[in-house]
Amino acid sequence: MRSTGKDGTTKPPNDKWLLRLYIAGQTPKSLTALGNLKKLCEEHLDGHYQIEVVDLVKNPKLAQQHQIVAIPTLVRDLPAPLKKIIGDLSNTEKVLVGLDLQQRR
Amino acid sequence: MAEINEQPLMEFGGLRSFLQEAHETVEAIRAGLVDGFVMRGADGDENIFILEGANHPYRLFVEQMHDGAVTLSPDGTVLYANRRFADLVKRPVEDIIGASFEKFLRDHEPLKALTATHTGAVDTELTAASGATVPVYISHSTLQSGDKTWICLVIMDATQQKRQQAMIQESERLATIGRTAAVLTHEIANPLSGMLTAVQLMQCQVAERGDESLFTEELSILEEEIGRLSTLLTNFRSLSQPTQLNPAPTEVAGLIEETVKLISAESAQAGVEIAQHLSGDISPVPLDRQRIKQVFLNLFKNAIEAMRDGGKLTIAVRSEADGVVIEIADTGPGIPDSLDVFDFFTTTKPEGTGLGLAVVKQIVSAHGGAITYTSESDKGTTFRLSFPLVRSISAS
Repeated sequence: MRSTGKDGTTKPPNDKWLLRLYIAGQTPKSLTALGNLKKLCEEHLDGHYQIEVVDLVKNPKLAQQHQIVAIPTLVRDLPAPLKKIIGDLSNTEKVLVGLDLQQRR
Repeated sequence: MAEINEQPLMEFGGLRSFLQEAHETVEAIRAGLVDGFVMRGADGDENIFILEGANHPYRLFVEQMHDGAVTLSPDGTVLYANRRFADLVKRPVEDIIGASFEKFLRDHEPLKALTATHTGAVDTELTAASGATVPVYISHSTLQSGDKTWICLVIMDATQQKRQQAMIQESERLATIGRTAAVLTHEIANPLSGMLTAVQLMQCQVAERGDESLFTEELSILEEEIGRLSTLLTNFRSLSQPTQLNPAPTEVAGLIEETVKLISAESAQAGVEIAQHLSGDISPVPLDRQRIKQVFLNLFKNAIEAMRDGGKLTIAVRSEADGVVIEIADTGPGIPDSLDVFDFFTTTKPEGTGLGLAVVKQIVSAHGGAITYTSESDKGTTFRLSFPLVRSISAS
């Protein structure tokens, strides 16, 4: 359980997060999503995270595991429950809420 | 107490989550936040589709890259060619697409190498539409995507590199000749000097005997010929060694006036009038005074020798944006178009060594300057020298 700050954001978790970003080669949205994800993790997860980039162009079958339909898609594998965020992660607030890093306002 | 059946609740939760994800996917597509999709084919395999606009930056990159880019089918048919390749072979892209790549190669052998190996590079030549050949380096790699195979080529224009290689080889050859010449001139100069002393001694003895008819003319011819050989050797030595300069700020107009005095007797004898247009406000130029004096002397003498029946030698100096320009014009017979007077052993004078202007060009180039000429038959020749105000001096 994470405690919530005054601004609605939660404190960095103690357990390690596993985030999988499904991309398709170096499309602009894939690159944007990766950039946004790294920035967001640095700001909110304080080193307690691991990002795995899954390039579906190289191995399309990997889309099956998480039923990926649109690219880019971010999957929070750990901590449970599994969460999916579709798109280039440019809406930071929506991503933070989707990852339980911020309460819905 | 009523028993709660959890099964419908779980199903409801799963359905809700599924709908939520579907909704978010549609929203992301609508908002333009995705540019790729995973489609399941009839065979059950996943295929990745990327929106056309997503590849646009890479297409632009390939289209506008400095090297030629070509994609071939395994049988060598061109599937794609960028603009640069079209420029190299001087053909419109629509004539290239669909043609066999063989059509653009001067020699068909390289195509076998391109299609037979997975990756590699070949050094070959393209044939342009004009029939001209273009030396190129082609690097190739085979790309596999699903059941499709492409051969991707990157084609670099090697014209400049080949030219530079030829220049290096030529300069190495000239350097070898230069070293040989330096040894030879040294070996010839010593006996020549001895011969001149002997001739002058014989001339003194003839003069003492007071018999003017005794080989006087022959001795005079010998002395002249030895002098000509000495000049030839001096020029040759100058050309065969790097030009070492001692540059100092120099008033070009002053140096010209000084040099003109040295040829005034010669010009008066030949009936050549000298006109100088030396502008007063010319910045000093970093020049090796003695070397540039030699340049002016060679050019003035050449001009006077070209006007054996009299004429006019006009010397003009003026400032330009980045340097000083000197023009030396004669009213002689002109230089035939077929001659490049800066080439070794090229001369229009019966007694010329054909090295004087080669030496002039070497000295001017070593100063970072340039020399050119224009000539009109029976009207005269104008040499144009330019020296930069600031420049790097090189040994050449």
